[in-house]
Amino acid sequence: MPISAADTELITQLQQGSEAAFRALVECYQGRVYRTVLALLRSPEEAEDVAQEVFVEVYQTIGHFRGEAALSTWLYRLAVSQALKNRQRARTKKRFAFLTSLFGAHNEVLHHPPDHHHPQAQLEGKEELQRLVAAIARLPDQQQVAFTLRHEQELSYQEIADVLLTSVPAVESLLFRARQNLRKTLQPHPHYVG
Amino acid sequence: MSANKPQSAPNNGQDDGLDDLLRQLRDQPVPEPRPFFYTRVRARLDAQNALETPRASRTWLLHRPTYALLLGLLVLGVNVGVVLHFKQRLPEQPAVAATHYDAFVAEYQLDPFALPLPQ
Repeated sequence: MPISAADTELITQLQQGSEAAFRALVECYQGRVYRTVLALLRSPEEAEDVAQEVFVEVYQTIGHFRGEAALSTWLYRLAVSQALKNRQRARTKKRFAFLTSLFGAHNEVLHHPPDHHHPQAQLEGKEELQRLVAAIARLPDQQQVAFTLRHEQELSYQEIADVLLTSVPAVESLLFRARQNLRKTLQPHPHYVG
Repeated sequence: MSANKPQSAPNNGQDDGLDDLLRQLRDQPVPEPRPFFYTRVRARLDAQNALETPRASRTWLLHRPTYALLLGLLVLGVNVGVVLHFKQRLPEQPAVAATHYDAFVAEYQLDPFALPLPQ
């Protein structure tokens, strides 16, 4: 995806260490980065933490940005990568905490069951939506990222392909499989029967 | 960043429900980070920079190979100098025994007159 003139100017200023440019970048993209991370982590606190880390990484590595992708694509890529890393760390920690609680001397419950509640809307009384969110959270990583970028961030297939460093047909395939998996997961509910 | 609406896969009865749910999900209020997000990013960046400074000084030599090499040569030179200095000041070693017999006698501190002379 070609880089816009405004982005080129912003990147040049960022590479020169402009504080104002960094502030403008954060204020322009904070919502999109936060929502992408939130869609993958489903925890506002973790999403805030990871979104901050994304911008710190941007500040520290902007010197290496060669403008081969749009700035937004790069930011989405960093956001997705940091969110998945964070989730992997959390899973490992939970697994370890579970083992520790099994062998621990104090009989403390150190692990917590996964929380798939969508903070976006609290979704109280919206059981259907909660089930959908939980089903999306159970998708394999790549499918979940593609599905989230498509249906929650409303990116085009080409943009998703750029973020995931893959091709448009590969994105189509990921989305197709994601829909199949969601259908399977949601099928037992009376709403989908028949 | 375009915001074109997602196109659904070819619909069947089951997908109607799924698409409807996805539409409901998109219609939820858009979440935003808490206010003063930039201030917190800036504070985090400053904190990380403060931590990086001592580490940077520790790795200073790694980024300047010429200085590191010269320092290595200096340490090596001092060591060689110390070794040579103390080697010269070592007391004279006793002469090495000329024969196995002499070595044997010297090692066990025997009286050579009480032993039979070798043939």
